[in-house]
Amino acid sequence: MKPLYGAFAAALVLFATPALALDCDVGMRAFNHAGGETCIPEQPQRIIGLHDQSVTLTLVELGAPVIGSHGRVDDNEQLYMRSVDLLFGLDFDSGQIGFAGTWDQMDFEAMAAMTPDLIIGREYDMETREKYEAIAPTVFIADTPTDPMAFPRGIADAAGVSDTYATQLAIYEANLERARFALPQVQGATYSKIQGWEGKLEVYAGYGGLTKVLADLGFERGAAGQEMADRGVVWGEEVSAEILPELEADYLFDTYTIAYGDTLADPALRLNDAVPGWCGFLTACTEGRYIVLPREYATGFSFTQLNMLLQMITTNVATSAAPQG
Amino acid sequence: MSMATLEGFGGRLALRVPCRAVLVSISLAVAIIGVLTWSLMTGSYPLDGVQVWATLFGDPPSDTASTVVWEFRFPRSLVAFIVGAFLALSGAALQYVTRNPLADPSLVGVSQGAALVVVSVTILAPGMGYYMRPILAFGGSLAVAALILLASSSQRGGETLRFILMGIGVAALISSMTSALLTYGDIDRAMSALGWLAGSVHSVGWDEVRWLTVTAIFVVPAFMAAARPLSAIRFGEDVATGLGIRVRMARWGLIILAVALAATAVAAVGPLGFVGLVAPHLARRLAHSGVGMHLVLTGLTGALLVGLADFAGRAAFAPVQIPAGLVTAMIGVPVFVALILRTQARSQL
Repeated sequence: MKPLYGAFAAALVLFATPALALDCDVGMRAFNHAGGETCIPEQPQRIIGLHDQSVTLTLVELGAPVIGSHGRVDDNEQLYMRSVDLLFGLDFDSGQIGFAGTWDQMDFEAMAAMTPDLIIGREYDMETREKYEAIAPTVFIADTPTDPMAFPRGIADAAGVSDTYATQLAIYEANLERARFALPQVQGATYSKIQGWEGKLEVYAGYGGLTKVLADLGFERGAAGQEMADRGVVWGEEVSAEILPELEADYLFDTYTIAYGDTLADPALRLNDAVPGWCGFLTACTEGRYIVLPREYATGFSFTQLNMLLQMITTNVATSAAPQG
Repeated sequence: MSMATLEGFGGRLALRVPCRAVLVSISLAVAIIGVLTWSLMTGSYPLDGVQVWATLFGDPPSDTASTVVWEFRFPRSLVAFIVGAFLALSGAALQYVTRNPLADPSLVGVSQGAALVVVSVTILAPGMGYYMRPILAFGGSLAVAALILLASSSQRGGETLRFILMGIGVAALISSMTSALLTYGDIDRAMSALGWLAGSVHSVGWDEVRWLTVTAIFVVPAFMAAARPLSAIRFGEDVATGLGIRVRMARWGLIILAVALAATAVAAVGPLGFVGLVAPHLARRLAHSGVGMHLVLTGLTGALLVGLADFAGRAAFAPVQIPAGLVTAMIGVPVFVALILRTQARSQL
């Protein structure tokens, strides 16, 4: 029987040998991400972000060395980085961050000319991963709807600024604690995130940072939003105006866009285009609990945005009439 | 049509050569080489002609230069030329077979089929992986084209008109389904699908060059061999039958070849509008010739058109790049309108 035991033991060792981690050069480390495992610099010095308001914004906020970013073209054909310009006053003209292309036309040559040592993108950017990987080590951070902070946390980890991330998180959590104390009435209160757009009514299951802050404060989605979330809808859907009564909730949230030159009255006017007289159908609106927030702060997960949202929601809710019953 | 006659073997072999068409073909080929050279030397990463030359011959000034030339510029330009030729040849064949000057690959649902499948998978099953897109697009193109072909085939004649009407109807239905998915799908996924729908060669690589070349090796010679039946079919079914052509078989064979070329092109770069429509007409205006020479001119014209569109898209508005599909549409729409107006004017005479 001994040879049999020996063979069995050998087979066990063979199958039990752990998968070897990626063998990286000195100064590099193996990093697990949505695209697999990649060797990246332990302390990257020249990072390109493949999406402005999700990747670049987080990198800038956490003080990572960003040298290039995806951008957009405005109505005046000027290049800009959404939210990065508003929150940190940075644009491509400042010379600190180079333009790396637009969402469907990334400029691989411009990126190569920047000689980055790390490229950070989203799962959606994996379509052209071979091009990025020809330029520099590239990681793709997954967006996890059940854990929205996994995305900025992953970016911070790749960029080697996890300590700064932890500090910022602690500040946000302290602010959140103060807001919860100030707003005991919102524990278990329901909300609907709605908006009118080009004559259509839209309802949202998720709205980026706004959804996170509302959940952190103790709000719960209304029935329509929850039904969408249960179906796996990450953002929102266009719905028939006939279901307006089903959007009844303790609070209504809507958004306007500073960059478009919106006024605070515009969201309600857009809803009126979709459903004339909409406000009269929803108690939250007639009783003054229809709250409008700037989209530039509502969608992102940067700590600047989350803290600002906390302040705005606290002020708006605290100064509105509490829901009856 | 100025013709020269080449004689050999003591007069036993005589070839009539359309001089103007041959000269135009050579000019187009030279222009393509010119655009390729220009494309290799132009971009966001500064490289002059000497550096590009050195890079091509194994002595790059830097690793980055090698990456830029070999990984980005060269495959991109090659794919633009090949895809342009494929779409143009496909459009020409369809125009001959249907005897409709406004026919192009979208008539047989190639672009729409590819778009529906790619958008559906991107929005409904994003986990399937981006690398599957070319295969899915190819499958979608063939499936919709087959549906249109089957639905319009009949033993009772009148197939051409039925084919055109069926193509327009099915394509419209499929486009509306695609629009619905884009409207109601998750916004990030819809944006990803829209990027593909714009039709762009900016992210292609050597894999695309390889399988486009393989397709060309098999399908393009078959196309050239089809010049004879095409010559007869363009005079109508009765004349072609009288000339000994098995019209039904030739027609479906040509349509299948046209679909295969267009589907391969769309699978590589997404839908590129108007090339299949415009290139055959431009080629005809450059030089009148027989069908075989016209197909050569059409292929070269299509290649030059998309090559130029891609080059213009990335150089004209730098640092912002515009997808080649948008540029070809910007060129194609005015030409399309001009063709319609010209046809109307002729019918009023």
